[in-house]
Order: sequence, then structure tokens, then C-alpha cells
Amino acid sequence: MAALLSIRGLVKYYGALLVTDHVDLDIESGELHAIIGPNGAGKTTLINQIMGEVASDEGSITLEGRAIDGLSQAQRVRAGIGRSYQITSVIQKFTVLENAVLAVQGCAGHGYRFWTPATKTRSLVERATAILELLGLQDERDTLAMALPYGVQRQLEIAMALAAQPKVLLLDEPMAGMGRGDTGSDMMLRLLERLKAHYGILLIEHDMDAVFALADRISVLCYGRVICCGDADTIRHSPEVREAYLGDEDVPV
Amino acid sequence: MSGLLLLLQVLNGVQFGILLFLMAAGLTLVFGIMNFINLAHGALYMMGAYFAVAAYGATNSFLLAIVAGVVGGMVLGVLLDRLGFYRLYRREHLDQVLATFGVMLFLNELVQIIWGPAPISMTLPAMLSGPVWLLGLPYPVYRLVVVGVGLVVAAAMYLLIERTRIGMLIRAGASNRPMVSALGINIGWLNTFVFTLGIGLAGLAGTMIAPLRSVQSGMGDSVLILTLVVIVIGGIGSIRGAFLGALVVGLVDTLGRSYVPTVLGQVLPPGPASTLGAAVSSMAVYVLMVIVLSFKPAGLFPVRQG
Amino acid sequence: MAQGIVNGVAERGLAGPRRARYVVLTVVVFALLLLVPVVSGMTARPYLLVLASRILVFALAAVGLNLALGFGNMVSFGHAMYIGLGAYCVAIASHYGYDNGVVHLALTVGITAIVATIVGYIVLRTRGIAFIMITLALAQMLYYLALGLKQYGGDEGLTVHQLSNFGALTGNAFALYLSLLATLGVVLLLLARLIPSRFGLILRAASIDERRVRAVGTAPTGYRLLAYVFSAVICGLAGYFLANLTSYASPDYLNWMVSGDLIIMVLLGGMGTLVGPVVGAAAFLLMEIGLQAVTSHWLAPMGVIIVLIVLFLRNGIWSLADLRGRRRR
Repeated sequence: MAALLSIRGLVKYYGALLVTDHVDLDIESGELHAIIGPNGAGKTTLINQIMGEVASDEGSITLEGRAIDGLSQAQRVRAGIGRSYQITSVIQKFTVLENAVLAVQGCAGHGYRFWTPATKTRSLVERATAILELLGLQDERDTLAMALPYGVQRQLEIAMALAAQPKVLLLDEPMAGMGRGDTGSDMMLRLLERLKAHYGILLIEHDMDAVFALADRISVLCYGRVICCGDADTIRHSPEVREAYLGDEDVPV
Repeated sequence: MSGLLLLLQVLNGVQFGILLFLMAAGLTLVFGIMNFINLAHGALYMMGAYFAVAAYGATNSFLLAIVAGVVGGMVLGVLLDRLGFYRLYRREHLDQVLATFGVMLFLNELVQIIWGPAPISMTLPAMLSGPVWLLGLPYPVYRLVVVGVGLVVAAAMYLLIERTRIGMLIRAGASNRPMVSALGINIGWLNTFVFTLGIGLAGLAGTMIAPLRSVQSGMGDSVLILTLVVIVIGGIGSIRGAFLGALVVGLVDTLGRSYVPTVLGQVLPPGPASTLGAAVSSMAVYVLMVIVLSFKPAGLFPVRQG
Repeated sequence: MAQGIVNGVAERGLAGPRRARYVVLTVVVFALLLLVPVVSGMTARPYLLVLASRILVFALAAVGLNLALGFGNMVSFGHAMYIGLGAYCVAIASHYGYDNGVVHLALTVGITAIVATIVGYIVLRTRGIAFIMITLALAQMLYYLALGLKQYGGDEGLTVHQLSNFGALTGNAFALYLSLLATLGVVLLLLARLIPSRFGLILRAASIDERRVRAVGTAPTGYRLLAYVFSAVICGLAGYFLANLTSYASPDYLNWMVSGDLIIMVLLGGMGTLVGPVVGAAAFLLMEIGLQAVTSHWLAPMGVIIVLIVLFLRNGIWSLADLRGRRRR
């Protein structure tokens, strides 16, 4: 089966520093492919390159067999890639509903509508509400994002990524900064389980328990290079991975 | 278009460019390290000129005039910092622009209150007021002195930024301020040093220009705008960009004013030529800015990473 | 009306008492403005009407700037050039003998829109402090152009010999005032629909986080450019009225100091609110007049007051109506 998202030979230099070192990666539909690695390994840069936020120096990216290298970030989103950010980027001053409507309208034609309030536009609001219900956020629809607990904001972040009806989800440390419990990483874990079936997911995470529980495949990124790729067992027993993590507390056991 | 006249105009352009460099270096340095945009920079240039003329009038010593201009400007800068500027360092650029705009209005009016609305001037001491003979044409020696002083300052700045520890801190702070702070460097002290240096450069520029132009309220306004153009062209935060941008702007402006009306006069009838000539030559620098920005939106030597 | 549109910032529960408060205040402001011609006529003080007209001109311009600055976070230090453009459209057209009021209006809107599209396209490639500086520089460029074009008056400006002809109403001070007020009202009503609309949502989101807008699949630049053009056209209209009010078009209208004053008016009234800029313009101009009456060196205290406003009244006067106290942007 051809991969949903396919990356070949991706390279990025910052000056003389090689940040992404000829990375090859595949994501299948229905698969959760995790990327782990020490800090500074270039994981977020990789996602930025896939999204088009950062221009690649070399390499190719293919979505459903179609090369997307020439597309802008917004165009890639419309083509079917959704992304969540490591540092929450929901619009703090907007309500939950406004954030959701913003996300929904992005892939729903052009936005040059000047008269009807966005939060009263039936087509947009229906779809936004559906997404919010999916994530259990519909009760908070009129709350300002800044008034939400951090974990709920992270949920909203994922909701916005889903609103574009993507085929591939790129999630950058969705559990970052969250404690345990129902509004914390447990909740996020359950959410990711549910999402796995419907999308191809590329997940960057430091929480090893979550990674080993969710991932079908794991790639280990070190100094911009994939040093090992395989299922959980392969990673656990790989000597290169141990060496890369030497000194790091999160050594997978 | 005589070649000699061209040479003289080029020299004038270089001299003007050097002046703009002094202004631009100060402004871009402060912006680079402190993320602070100071629209009152032009007014401080004006204050430097006023202090210089006042000191010269009182003591008849050119040297004291220079000291008064530079140091007076610096003292005023430190005063402004203590009085309220320090609150602005953390604010958005919009706030900084507006507040320093208000300070500029205040200073422009203050000099009228103290020295009256009429322009004042100073003459050069005999030693500096003669001509130098270049290829048969006289050129004011003082203008060459200005160029010389500017080049010395440029060299000193280069040495400071590239070869000293302070310079390294300045460069580091310009591209990643929080990191420098986190490394335990006393960023406050560094800020004060850079701010004072920047103001001092503006004061020096004003002092140098005082014998050449009439010193009056608002003289800094047009210079300020040209300085902003220089920084935009050269790259915000870059001293190298300020130097190159200043020379280019100085030359384009000076040569533009001299030659555009003549060139237009060859092509158009005299009436439209003179009207358009005046308008177009003062626009030349801005057109240049737009052209540079179309190819390099961040200027010729962009610096800001953060 | 959607949540919080009068205040411009979405607020939970801006239904009921709080929104009503802003609507009432707006009505009060307009009622006061409607009273001016009455008072002026009854007490035979025509200068009151002229002064109020001037305030309305700048109120309109400030409202226009606020669309770009307050709602779009585009800090344009050159918006006065659109006031100047509007004024010169009237002056130059009548210089060539065209005095039809509708023609003047069409010219103003058309030319301002075209120039704004070109300028906007250039400046929106930059961000932050570069944006501020470049808008300033480009406005200066137009200022020098106006100054240099001797056949249109040069530094002396151009007298408008024939005001915008609207039949019997031409040159009538009351008619001018009322049409100014009506224009302001219409513009505010249109903005009241624009801000919560889908376009406005994208604009406001882009003003906070452009990357977030791209991440939902929308390219923000077109929306910001259009908002910039709308705001420029509103300023152009202000210039149109100014030329009719003063019978004069001058390069001074394009001076960068005027742009600075405009930003302060918006700030003073309340950035990102609908009606704030109207109050800000009135407060600023009244303050100017007050100071001028006290001393000929009025610019000195004016400068100090501007600094104090930026330091201490950053949210503007209009936000003072919110008794619970809104946090800073």
C-alpha cells in the first residue's frame, strides 16, 4: 500500500549547521508513527518543513502520491495536512467557538464574506460544533480561550487541526505541559487512541509511556538524522538508540 | 556635466552619507540590542547642535563645542532614560514610536523656548574654514574633516563590535537577547552603555553639522526620516548595513538633487522639468528604498533572528 | 449584533448590561454631535460648527485608521497621505473645472483605493518596525511630491475654487456637517458588520497570529491588504470633506506628524473599539485647542501629554466605560 505521506531525503541547513539530515519517512493511513529523540534533534524543524513553514534545502514530500513541495503552508493544509503546535497557538482572545469557526472556514471556500457574523453562519457553525462535540468542548463554546485550563486549550488546538478534515495529522508534543488525569495526559492519550483509526498521524512526544502505548512505528531522530526506525521492540533493543539517549533520563527501558 | 563638478558632488554625497551613518549607527545599535525604536533620535541630534553652538558662543573654543554637543546629548539621553524611557523598553514598538514622537515634539518646542524661533549658527575657527585644493577646485576643508571623523568613528565601531568582548555581547544581544540575559550578563548595564553610545553618536552628528547648516527647531526631523530609510535599506540592527546604506542614500540624495533636474531638462520642456525635477529628486531615495525592498524585504544585511 | 462588536473584542457575556452600556454611550455621543449645529445656529457662533466639522473629519480618518491599526495590527505611520490624496482629488479636479460633487467622491474613492492597493502590496511584505518605518517613508515620498508639484500649488497648497457641487447644498456649512456625521454613522454601521464577519474574523486572527491563520488553510495577506485598502478609502473620504471644509488642499495634510497625531487619536480613544477613535479625535483636537489658548508654545505640553497617554492611558478613553477594567491588549 502506498504511503499516505512520504518524505524522501529531506535536508535543512541553518547556515553551516545541518539540522535535517536526509530524512526518509513514511506515514500510512490509520498508522501512528512516532518521532522521538533528544532535545535539539530537529523534530519540530522536520514538522515545519513538512508543513511548509520552513523551506527545505533538498528533498521531496508527497501526499497521496502527489508532490506538495511547491505548495505554500496554507495550500498544504487544504491539501490535507493538519498540525498542532508544541506551544499552544489557539487565539487567546477568541472564544472556543470562534477558534473552531476560524479553523473550519479555512478549508471551506474563500473568506471574503463581509456581512454575516462568522459565528452565525450556519454552515460554518454546524461543522465547528460537530468538531467541538467530538472533543467534548461544546459546553465551553462561549468561553474565551484564555480562560480555559491548559489541557483544554491543547484539546482545542487538536480540534482546530481536525477542522480542516485532514488526511494526515502532525502533532508536536500534544502532551507537553500537561499533568496526569482527566484534563491531562490521560485524556490526551484516550483522544489519540480514538483519532488513530481515522487519520495517519505523525506524533512527536517525549512521554515514552504514551509513545510505546500508541505507536505502530517509531523513528528515532538524532542530530537531524533517523538513526533507527521500527516497532516498539526494535527501538527498545537498539544499541544506537541507547547510545543516543545516554545521559538522558528518558532512556526507553 | 564636468567631471570635476561630479567629483565635488560625490564628495558632498559621501559627507552627507557619513553624517547619516553616524545617525543610523546609533539608532540601529539601540534597536538591535534593546529592541527600542527612538523617534526622538533626530531631536537629540538637534540638541547636540544647539549645545555645540551655545558652547562655542560662550567659550569660542571649537573643542569645547564638540564636547558640549556630544556629552550634552548623552546627558540628556540618560536623563530621558531615567525619567520614563526605561518603562518603554518592554513595550510594543507602537508605544515606543508614539512616546518618542511626543518627546520629539517637546524637544522641538523646548529649543524655541530657550533659544527663540530664529535659527542660530556658529562659524568655524580659522584653521578649519579654509579650502583645500582638489584638482584645481576649492573644497571646504571642514567637510573633509567631517568625512575623516566619520571614518574614524566607523573604524572604531567596527573594532568595538568585532574585536572586543563588549562588541561580542552586543552582537549576541542583537540576535538573541533573552539568551544573553539568561547567561547572567547584566543586560541592564549593557543597555545603558549602548543607549548612551547611540545618543552620543547622534550628538556628534549634530555637532559636526552645526557649522555647516543653520541650527533650528525641527532640523532633526528630515534627517530622522532619512536615517530610517538608511536602516530599512541597510538592514535593521546591522552596523555594516548602516554604513553601506548611509553612503548609498547620501550619494543618491545629493547626486539626485544635482543631476535629476538637469537630466529632466534635456528631455522635457523647462516648465515641467523644473517642477518635476524638484519633486523627483527628493523622492529618489524613497524610490531606491522600494526597489531594494522588492528584492530584499529585510534589507541588504538583515540581522534580527529573534 | 454579534458578541462584543461594539467593543470590538469578543467577550463572554457581552450581551445584556455591558453591551447595552456601550450602545447607550454611542447614542449619547451621536446625540451630542447632532446638537452642535443647533447650538451653533442658535447662539450665532459659526466657528463652533467649523470646529465640530474638523473634529468629525479627523474622527472619520481615525475610524478608518483603526480598521488597519486596531483590528488589523498594521501600524501605519503614513495614513495621513490618504487624507491628503482625498483633499487633492477635490482640489485638482476643481482646478481643471470639474466640480460635480459625485465626480469628486468617485475620484477620491477610486484614486485612494488604487494607491492603497499599490502601497499596501509593497508594505505588507514587511513586518513589525520595518512596516512602521516604510509606511512613514512612503508617505513622506508623497509629501515631497505634493510639495514639489508647483502647478498644483507646491508648498503653498491648492485653493479649491469650486467646492464639490451638490446643487443648492454646495458650500452650506450645515449640510457639510450633517453629511459628515451621516458618513461617519454609515461607516461605523458598516464596520459593525465587517468586524464580526468571516472577513473580520480572519483579519483579527491574522493580527494576533498569522501563522495560526495559515495553519487553518487561509493565506492571510489578501485579507490584510483589503482591510488596508478599506481603511485608506475611509481616510480618503475624510480628506474629501476636509478640502470642502477648508477650501484648500495642502502638502501639510500629508505630513508625517499628522499620521502620528492620527495614531494617537486612535490610541487615546481606544484601539480596536468601534467608537473609541471618534472620542479620541474629539479629545485630542479639543486638547490641542485648549493648549493653544494657554500658550503659543503649546507643542511642548502636547508632547508631554502624548508621552503620558502612552504610559498611562494605553487602553484609551472608551475602555474607561468598562467599569470592571479590561486588561491591556
